[in-house]
Amino acid sequence: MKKSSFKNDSSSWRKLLFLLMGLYFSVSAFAQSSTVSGTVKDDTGNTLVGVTVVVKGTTNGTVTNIDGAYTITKVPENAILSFSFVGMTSQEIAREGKSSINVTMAATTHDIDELVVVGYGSQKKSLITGSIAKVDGSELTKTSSLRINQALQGKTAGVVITNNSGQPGEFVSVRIRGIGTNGDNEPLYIVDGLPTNGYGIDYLNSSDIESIEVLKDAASAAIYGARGGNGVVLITTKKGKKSEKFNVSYDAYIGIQNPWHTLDVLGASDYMDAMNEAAINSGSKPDKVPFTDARRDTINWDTNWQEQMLNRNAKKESHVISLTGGSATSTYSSSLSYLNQEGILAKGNSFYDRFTYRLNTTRQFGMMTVGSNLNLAQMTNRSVGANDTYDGSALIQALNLPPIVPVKYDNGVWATPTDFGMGMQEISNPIALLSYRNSESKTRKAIANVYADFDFGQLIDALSGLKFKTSYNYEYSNVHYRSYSPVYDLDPTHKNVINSVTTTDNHYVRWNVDNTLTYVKSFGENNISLLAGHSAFRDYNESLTGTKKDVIFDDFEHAYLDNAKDPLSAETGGTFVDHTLLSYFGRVDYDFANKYMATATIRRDGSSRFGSANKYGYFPSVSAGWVISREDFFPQTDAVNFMKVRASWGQNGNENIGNFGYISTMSSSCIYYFGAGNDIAQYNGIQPSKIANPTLRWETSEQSNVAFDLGFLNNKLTATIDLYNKTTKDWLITAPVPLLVGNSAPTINGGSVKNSGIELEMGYKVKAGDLNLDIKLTGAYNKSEVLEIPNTEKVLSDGTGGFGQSGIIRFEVGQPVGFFWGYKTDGIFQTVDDVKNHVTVDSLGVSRVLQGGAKPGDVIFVDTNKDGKLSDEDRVNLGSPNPDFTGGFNFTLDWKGIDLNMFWYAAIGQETWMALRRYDQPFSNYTTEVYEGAWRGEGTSNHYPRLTKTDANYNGNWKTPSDLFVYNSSYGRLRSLTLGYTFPKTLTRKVKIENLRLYVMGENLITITKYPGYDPEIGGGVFSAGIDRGVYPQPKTITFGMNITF
Amino acid sequence: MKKILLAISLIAILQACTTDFVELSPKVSKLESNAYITENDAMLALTAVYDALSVQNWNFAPIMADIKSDDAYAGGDASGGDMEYWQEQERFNIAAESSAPLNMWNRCYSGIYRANLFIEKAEGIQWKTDGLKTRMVAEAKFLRAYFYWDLARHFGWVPIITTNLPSVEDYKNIPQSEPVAVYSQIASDLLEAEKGCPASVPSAQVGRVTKYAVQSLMTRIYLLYEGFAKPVLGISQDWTSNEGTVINKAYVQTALKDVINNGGYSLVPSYADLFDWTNDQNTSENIFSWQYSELGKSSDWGGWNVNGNFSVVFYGPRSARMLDGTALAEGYSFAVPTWNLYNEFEAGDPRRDVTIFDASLNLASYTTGYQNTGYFNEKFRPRIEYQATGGAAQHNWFINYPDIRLADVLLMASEIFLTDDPAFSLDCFNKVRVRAMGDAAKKSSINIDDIYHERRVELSGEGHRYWDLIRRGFDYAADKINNGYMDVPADAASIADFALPRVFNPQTYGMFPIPATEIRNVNEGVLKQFIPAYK
Repeated sequence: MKKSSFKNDSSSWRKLLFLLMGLYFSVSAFAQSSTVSGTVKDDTGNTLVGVTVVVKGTTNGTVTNIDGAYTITKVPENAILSFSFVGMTSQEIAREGKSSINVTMAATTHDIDELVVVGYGSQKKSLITGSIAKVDGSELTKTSSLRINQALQGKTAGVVITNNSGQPGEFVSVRIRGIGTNGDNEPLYIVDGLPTNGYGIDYLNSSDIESIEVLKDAASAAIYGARGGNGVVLITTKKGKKSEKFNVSYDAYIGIQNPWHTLDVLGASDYMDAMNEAAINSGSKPDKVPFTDARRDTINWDTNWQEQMLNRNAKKESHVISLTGGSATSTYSSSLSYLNQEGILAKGNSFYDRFTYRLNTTRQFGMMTVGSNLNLAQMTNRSVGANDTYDGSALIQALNLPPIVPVKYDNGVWATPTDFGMGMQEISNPIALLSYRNSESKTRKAIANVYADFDFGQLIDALSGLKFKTSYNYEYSNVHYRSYSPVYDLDPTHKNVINSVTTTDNHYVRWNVDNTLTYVKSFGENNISLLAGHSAFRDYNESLTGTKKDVIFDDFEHAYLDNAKDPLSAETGGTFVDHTLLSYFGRVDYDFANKYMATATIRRDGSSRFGSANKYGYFPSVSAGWVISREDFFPQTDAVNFMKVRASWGQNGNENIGNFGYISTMSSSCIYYFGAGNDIAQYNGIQPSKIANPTLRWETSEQSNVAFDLGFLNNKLTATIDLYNKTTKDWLITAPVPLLVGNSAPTINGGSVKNSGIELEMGYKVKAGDLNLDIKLTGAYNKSEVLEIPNTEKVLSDGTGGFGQSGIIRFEVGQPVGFFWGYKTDGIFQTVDDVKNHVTVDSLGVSRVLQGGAKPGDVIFVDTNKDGKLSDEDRVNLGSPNPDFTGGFNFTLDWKGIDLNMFWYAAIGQETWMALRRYDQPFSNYTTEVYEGAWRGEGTSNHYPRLTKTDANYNGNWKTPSDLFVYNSSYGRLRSLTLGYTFPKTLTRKVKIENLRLYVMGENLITITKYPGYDPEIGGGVFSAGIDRGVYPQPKTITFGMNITF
Repeated sequence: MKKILLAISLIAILQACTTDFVELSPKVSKLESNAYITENDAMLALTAVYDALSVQNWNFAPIMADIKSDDAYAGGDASGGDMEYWQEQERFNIAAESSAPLNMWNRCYSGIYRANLFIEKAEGIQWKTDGLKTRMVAEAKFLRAYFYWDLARHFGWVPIITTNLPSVEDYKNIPQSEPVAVYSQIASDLLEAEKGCPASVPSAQVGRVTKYAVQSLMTRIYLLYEGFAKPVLGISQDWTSNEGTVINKAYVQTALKDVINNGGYSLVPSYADLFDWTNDQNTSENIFSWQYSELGKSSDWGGWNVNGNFSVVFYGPRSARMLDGTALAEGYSFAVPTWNLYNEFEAGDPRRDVTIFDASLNLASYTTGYQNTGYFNEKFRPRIEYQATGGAAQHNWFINYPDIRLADVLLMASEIFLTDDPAFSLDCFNKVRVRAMGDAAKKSSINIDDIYHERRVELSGEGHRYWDLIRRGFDYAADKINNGYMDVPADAASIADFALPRVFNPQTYGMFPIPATEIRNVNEGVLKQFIPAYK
């Protein structure tokens, strides 16, 4: 085994460590030759706890204690002391030989100098040269979002967040600066140093978050190299502050949720009319229609299946108790939380329930600070299909089921369409189907992080500015799934002849080690900061699953494998997946007089996902900034008081392609049987699972960013404008190869897309007497263009719409990413002559009738390429599921204890493919819109065609993927509206309460959209986003809550 | 404290600083480099070739053949658009974008890849058993011939690949061979398989290719070559292998006598027993069957890794209850027998009720599908009592597909010896007829139409009828195909489903277009449509 130099050097490191340990105990022996002390208060006279006091140009510093007092040692006579505190204007005060300095700090109205977390460190906002958006934890608690990335929606420009569905606990899709790849577009998440993905942050409670930083440009993300290609989200959890007094707070809310709207579908009478009308239009004789007068008399039911599926007034509640505090040398922050959310569909079958515990501590031992973060969580959930055409989906069944079918007959037996001679394949009584579902998934997680920070400057002045940090993160999670499938016989497609139990256990382990050495030094006006680091990461998972039939108990409670008695039915499986990364990185930050800044980064990553030919990748970046307003020539006015320009360039990677794509593993699924009668045996035939590609390499994204930061009116008004250009190339794709090859295509690199856009963030903060007003506006426009696709067709397509509609989402060179691809329609044939006249004159001058089989009332499809026939070549871009523009508007006002917050989000310029009706099933119910809008004679409709039973062999009105399915789904939403009241401290302190706030909050109260489906917000992967198959809608929620601090 | 810190620092530094930290190898699968060593490995590699033959992938070849013939309608659910590419085939209006030709092409070239890979890897196997390599290579060649035959009869002009190529790019530049060359390749492989395959196999190996299976397939291909390839594709020479061996009438006559006299096969005394699910799937009559079983507990709605007989569920009626109220296993009501087929059976022929399930006599209720005739394929109709409980119920029917059985061989012999040895021809013919209908049904003289009638009633639902029609000339085929389709009772409730007449299009040669995506995925202009209707 080859060892790195780091390891070889470990003996000398050990010596150094011992030395440092020894030195720590002698720190107190240093002469306290020059000590300064004092008290810090705010402008109302309250003492400020936790103010940072630093000797300027050094790392020598402290924070104020519980009484607002500080003492700082080793302060040179001519030193300048700098005082900083979040929300206060920083001050620099010359010592001038004094030993006591009291300070009064004024509240700031701007955030130019707040600290921003960057990869492996933090930086003052005014010095940042990349494009980093910061969201304070306090912003996140303004909605009752369950996942914290959900709460980021609209808070940062250029980060498009789409809820995949309204199911509790559902994953959210996050796209930073557009879609760069045909594969995984999710950003990398780093939680207190531990890399994870969007699924992996489910244990985080929004009130535990100190801040979230989104690294949008390549230069900022380059420090995460191989995995920064889709951007990086840095999440920092709350820590206690030194000398902070012990705080206990209790936050709770309880809310009720309801669907924000339902669809208007036909009731029994209209339904039967519609079926008869369709039958007659399809050639049926009037006495042979499905619902003759005689039969109508036998139909006694009119079921509103949507209402049956809905769980109105679904409950949601949350309780969080947090403790924070700190002494002069240690801090702690801890919380215990419970959250429970019911879904607004499928009562009892859709919920999410979470307990979390967190403890973050730090302790300083002289030059060394040791910290640990511990998280424990348990999540229990049950879910129903959220957006699925086939089995399991709740709403699609409810929408399509004939209203003439009751839920149950009087004798208590479930009813099905089959009872009415209308077997509808996957569609059947969803209430009955839900009653057979017995499954639950429990996730348990333990995440621990320990680190040690060594500040050598505390040891020897000569080493001032040199720090070493070693950090070790470990996550263990167990996902346990258990289900019981009872015996039932609902209809021939939905039955189970023998009961069974399934248990699945998935173990995930993820750890990483980071070691970083930083050195900060100032030479006059030159400030330099160096970072060198090393990181190793591994994640692996092991699964075990077992199924067995013939269970002796008929319930979920006893659904354990030992209760299943058929030994021959036992099926087991288990697998193991492993992934490692080894990385080295470095960064240089330089600035001159806080005026001219430059940063350069490089990272080298090695990944187990690539073969020896391309195992290692290098990811460089450079960026620079200029604070123009600090130039002497810049006029000193309050009108424009801050101006900065910055620019960056960098490269990032994406290695999210699964494991072992580069080698040829064997598949043994080529099963065949030999032997007669009892001699029959199964042979698991083998072949390579696919063609290997040993030269597989990283997907790379290259991005340039130019931005302006502006402050007006003494920073009451701030604005940031970012312009970017991002090209992602060498996608990891499975390019189609000829089937002549005989085996699956290899994963190859190829294809590229350019995303460019503009982002604007504006803030306006004003304080007038007791009134505080804070307005924030974000907006982003993104445009994408596919530059290359490495196959003969220059096309990738996938995505299924309604039944039989395939390839509706397409990547094509010269077009935006992932657009909807289908036929254009041109209204409805009104007369027989219209059909005859719908011709194309081809190049030979021959007129060709395009839709000879059509009848008046059928849809007119356009021969866009004028080749005299309708074929796939006539399909065109019908719109995009990805918005062109997204924006957020956040309005906060507080006045004498009353606070009001309003947050709007909008996504403009997106389309949705509405695939709600199963047009292959003639007995599917219709929406009122399609039914009432149908063509019924010349001039009655030029949009919706006549009703037909099915039309597959004739005109394909509803089978053909066309613009009839595509709707503008731009929307604006009042995401949250909160009204709160904080009781005067003078009152609450009498009962030992430091702070008491009560509030009422409404979420999704208003949705403005023209989209007629359930919800315009449909996330998903690149080939599934924006396809509505009865998506689980977002709930409208009313919440009552309180925050108490003791 | 010191110790803890030291430990943290050291663990942190030690844990990850080796460069082989990022060199991982899969823990749950073999690699190509260590997978082909023992004779057992060879058996598993050969298994993969057999598997490709049995792949249905939603487009079971015998069903597609039947729905193009006068034996069955496409059917499916009431929409008439379920499996649209079957409905397209039924109307001889097959688009190059259709997935049916694509899946056929995919199955064949996957099988060819696996056969070529086996032949290549056989060289590196540590063989211990005498003659085993020769036999297994012979089996692989039989299977390869089978795949090329499926290509030859469905596409005609196809690229010939007999060794796997180093790079996927190499496959983008292989032109199609003329049909005559494809048939020659088939002949070469079959001749070698005939030499290398054993005359019989022990019980545990039933399902593997025997010499007689090779000879039977050779006869079947010979008939198509003479009746279809020569007149339609314009081939003038006799069927000749690459090495120059000619498989002519004399050759197949010798082969047929070998199968009939020496093969040891015998007709099962009762025709019904052949399709009785309680009986062993491999009878004394089965010469070559595609083996299916429920053992694999398959569940792959993609369709490729289904190892039971998925086609079974396609044949059954939808949501049906028997007269006594019990539910039938759910079916999809595809490939429903035509009235024309029903009427083909002579009065008293017991084969009719073994072949056709009459809903009006057996069912209290069912959901009628498209082109409902009230008839369903009884030979392969799903039986609830045999529905597998592992995997997806639809995927794990254990009924084999009886590709080549003695009755077929006897009737081919009857046809081939009709003029050369009328007595033998008549004897073969009567054996089949008498087994079904008793001695009274024996005929004393026969002509080709008698043989065609007998083949139809004996083999219907098994995917042979269409190819029999095609090889008798397009006029004959068009007459039967079109008129058989339109033979609809005037009072049929589903009469609207037959409103469009069916017109056999001779310009299609009754074949498939080259899949459009395949044309796009090779270099431009390399693959072409040679069949007039698809140009």
